[in-house]
Amino acid sequence: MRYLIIIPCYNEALNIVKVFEDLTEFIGATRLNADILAINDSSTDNTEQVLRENKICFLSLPFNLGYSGALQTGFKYAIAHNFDFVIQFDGDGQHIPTEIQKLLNAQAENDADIVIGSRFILNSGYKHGLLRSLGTKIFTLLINMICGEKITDPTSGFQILKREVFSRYAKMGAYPRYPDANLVIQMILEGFKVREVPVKMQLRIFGVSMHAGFWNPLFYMVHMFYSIFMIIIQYGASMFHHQKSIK
Amino acid sequence: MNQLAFIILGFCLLVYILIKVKNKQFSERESLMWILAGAIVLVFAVFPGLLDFIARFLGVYYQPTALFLLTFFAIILILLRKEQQINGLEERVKELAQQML
Repeated sequence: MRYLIIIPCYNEALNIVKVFEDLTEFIGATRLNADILAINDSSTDNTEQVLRENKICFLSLPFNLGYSGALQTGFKYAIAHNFDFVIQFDGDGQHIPTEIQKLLNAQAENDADIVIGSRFILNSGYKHGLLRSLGTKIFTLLINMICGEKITDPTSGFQILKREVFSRYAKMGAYPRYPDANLVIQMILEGFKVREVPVKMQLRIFGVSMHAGFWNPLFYMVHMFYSIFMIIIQYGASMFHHQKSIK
Repeated sequence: MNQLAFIILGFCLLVYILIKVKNKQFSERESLMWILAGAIVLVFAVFPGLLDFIARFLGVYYQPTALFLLTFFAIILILLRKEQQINGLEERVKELAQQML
């Protein structure tokens, strides 16, 4: 089995080397057959130079495509180079490489199509803002109402995806700008097996998150509700069947 | 036009937009704005008194003029947004073409 670890980076010059070193150490220790690919999303700082100097395998996008555009680029690369699994990993130092093992184990045990590393199943010590933790609770409830499954951390970018899943993502013309609760719901309704496993995460070391400020989270919430509403319209029938099959 | 016809028109507009999004004929992000526009038409149709209130607030004596004024502003805003998007796309195409060399 070949794994590709994809790391979308936007202005992560200060974090990326540490992330890469920790990942390499993990791969060496576990002898995982994995490659690492950083996707530089047209950073305005010297991320590209840092990647080059440290001999990290990377792709540079000609302009900023956003987090989801960078991820999708990674999926396309994984298809072109025949990888069996993709591991999504953040470039900001939030994710801990040794926690990948938990995702790998959960994937193997359940033969899951998607495994999400969740901060909220156990108390992982990760602190969220009040608004965001409220938002996460609402989306967890929505997923449960629509699909009948419990996903506690749909916004987590720490995931393992099977080839069928990332092939589907790579070809999605409308791969969402924020691939969170909406995408989880869509994939469950399409019949993919989604599992969650508790992981530890840490706060980012340097730089600002894409959800910083007042307007960004607000816009995010509106967009996410609307996106879920559109999925309900599109997958109304399969939603009914899915809930029936669970009962 | 009577009120019922107006409500049907607003409703049809909303359904039309939803079908377009469902068939992925335009992006979710852009559709949000159009859905909002459709919803506003529906609100005005259901509560015509609202238009009265807005007309008086704007100091317009003839109600339909207030409606035209609002629509005009909305269209200008959408046009500006499109202009901005086309501009961004032109830049990106140029960037891509130059990288191909």
